[in-house]
Amino acid sequence: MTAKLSSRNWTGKASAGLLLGYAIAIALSGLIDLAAGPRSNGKMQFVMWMVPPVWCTILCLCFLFRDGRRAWLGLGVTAVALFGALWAGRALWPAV
Amino acid sequence: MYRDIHSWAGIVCGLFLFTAFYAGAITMFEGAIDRWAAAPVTLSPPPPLSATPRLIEQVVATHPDAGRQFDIIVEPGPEAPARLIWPADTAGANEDHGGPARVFAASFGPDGTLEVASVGDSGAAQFVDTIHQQVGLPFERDTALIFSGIIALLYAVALVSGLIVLLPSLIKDLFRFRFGRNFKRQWLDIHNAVGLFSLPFHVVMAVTTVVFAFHDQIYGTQDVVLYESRIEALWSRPPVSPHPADTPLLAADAIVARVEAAAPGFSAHRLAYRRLPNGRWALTVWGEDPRYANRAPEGGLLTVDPHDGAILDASYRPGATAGWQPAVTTFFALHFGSFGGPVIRWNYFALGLAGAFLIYTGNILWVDGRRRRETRKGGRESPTTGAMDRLTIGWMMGVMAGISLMVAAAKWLPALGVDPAPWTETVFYMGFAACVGWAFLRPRARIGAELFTACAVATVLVPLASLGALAVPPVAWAHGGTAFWVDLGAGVGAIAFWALARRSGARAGAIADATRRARQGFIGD
Repeated sequence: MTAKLSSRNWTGKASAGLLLGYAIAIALSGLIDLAAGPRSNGKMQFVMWMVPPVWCTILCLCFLFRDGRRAWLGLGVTAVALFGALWAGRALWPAV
Repeated sequence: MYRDIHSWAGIVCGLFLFTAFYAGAITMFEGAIDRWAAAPVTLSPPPPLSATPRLIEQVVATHPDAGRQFDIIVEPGPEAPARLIWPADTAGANEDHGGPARVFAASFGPDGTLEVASVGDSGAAQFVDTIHQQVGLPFERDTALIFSGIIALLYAVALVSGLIVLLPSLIKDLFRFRFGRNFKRQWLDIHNAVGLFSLPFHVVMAVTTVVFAFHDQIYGTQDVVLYESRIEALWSRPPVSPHPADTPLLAADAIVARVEAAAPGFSAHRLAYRRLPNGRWALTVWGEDPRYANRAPEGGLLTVDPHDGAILDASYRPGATAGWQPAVTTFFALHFGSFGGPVIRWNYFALGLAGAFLIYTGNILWVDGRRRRETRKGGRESPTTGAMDRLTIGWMMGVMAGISLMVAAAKWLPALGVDPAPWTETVFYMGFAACVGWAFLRPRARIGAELFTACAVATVLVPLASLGALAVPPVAWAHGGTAFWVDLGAGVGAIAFWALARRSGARAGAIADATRRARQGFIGD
């Protein structure tokens, strides 16, 4: 059964987008930090700048989940996977 | 679904976004307004750049505030009226609020003695920027920025949802403008066209604003999650001068020559000396190179050794290519329009005004749609719809009239013998509040015409103030150069407001006639 997408049940979806979107964006910025060379002022600023674009994108698209529960589940699994990758990566290649 | 999201996100942040866009468009000419509003200072002509070590030595010896920080101006003009200027020490107060710090300027008299004068700064140009950054909120800066960030997130949601709603009919409707009797169709076509064609600008503004509002919080999170709480230690400071602290300072002409040789095409404007906690001077040279992205609205900068002019750090130089900084500088420049000189500046001004207009059309479409839903089955318009209608007009006109009034006051108040600095913020908020109040007190059909007239009057006060320079004896001043463009721009703006007032009045009259004719068929109201 496919329920129609609706803006009625927005609190669950929007809160998932806002909070987990931020978490995912932080994790992704961590992967950029990990992947790209030694740390410097410029790199740390760049890594900070990478958070809002991802955060905004997820916040905008989180309404495509059918309901709040699915949004929390989908984004939650994504966040856990990304943080897992981040911590695994850091264990393998300690930060410079 | 995204239609509802677009409506709600849009209406919640609309008024604040209008404030940010209109004030932001004006900040494209912050420097010009600063020059326009700067009261003349009576000082002897500036000594040559080669004489700066002697000037610095004498000023610092006699004025302890200048011992904390001062600027050497490469080409003094009305907005920076001396070779050496410094702000008073505002210990306790910070630069974010409470008006501008008093500024002093120094020169040498004909007999070689030190001359010092106080610079009258109204802070009007700076406050337009504050209105822009804090979306007009009179709160403490950190609090206001969190609010601005939330507005920016909603703005992002409104943008993307609006685009998604538009996509299915995009190709069909792209160049169709159905002007005419259908109010909603006409304004929706305009809203869509303006929104779509300035979409890249809006995406840039939404994302960069989230960065500006939340960078402290994001760094804080990354400090814990990525940097093992060592972020303070990881930030590297620019290398310091290898010379002993008591080495004499190098003359400014030699420093400018060193900088411009190291960065061809970069024109140095200002040498900013700051005293470090260890008592040494740190020097950053600010300037501009319009061929490249510049880090700040004012331009880019290089960190220079104040004793021998060696370049200590060039990563913020416009056109730098090494490392990560150039990418970050591009992000900043995309928000500030600080690339490409006046052409981009005027483009950003136009895009900012178009953004304000986009928000205006969005709000009136929201009001119109809601009113039609409510009155469709013979119902009455709800008080909320009516209030939002009036608030939209009053708020937007209030921002425009308030800014004009505040800028004009920077020149009118001195002519009346009043120091404008303590009045700048008050004048803006009084003008703004008066327009909002007016919008709720007057008949709905009249407020558009009346408040546009108020905007026209407030804006024409700007060039009128400069005409005070022609009076005998002069009661005001009129600097040339970019300040003249402020007069010209305000004059054109006043005419535009006046034309809009006439049009709005004529339309109100036509609607009143039509309503009267329609009602003749009914008994009573």
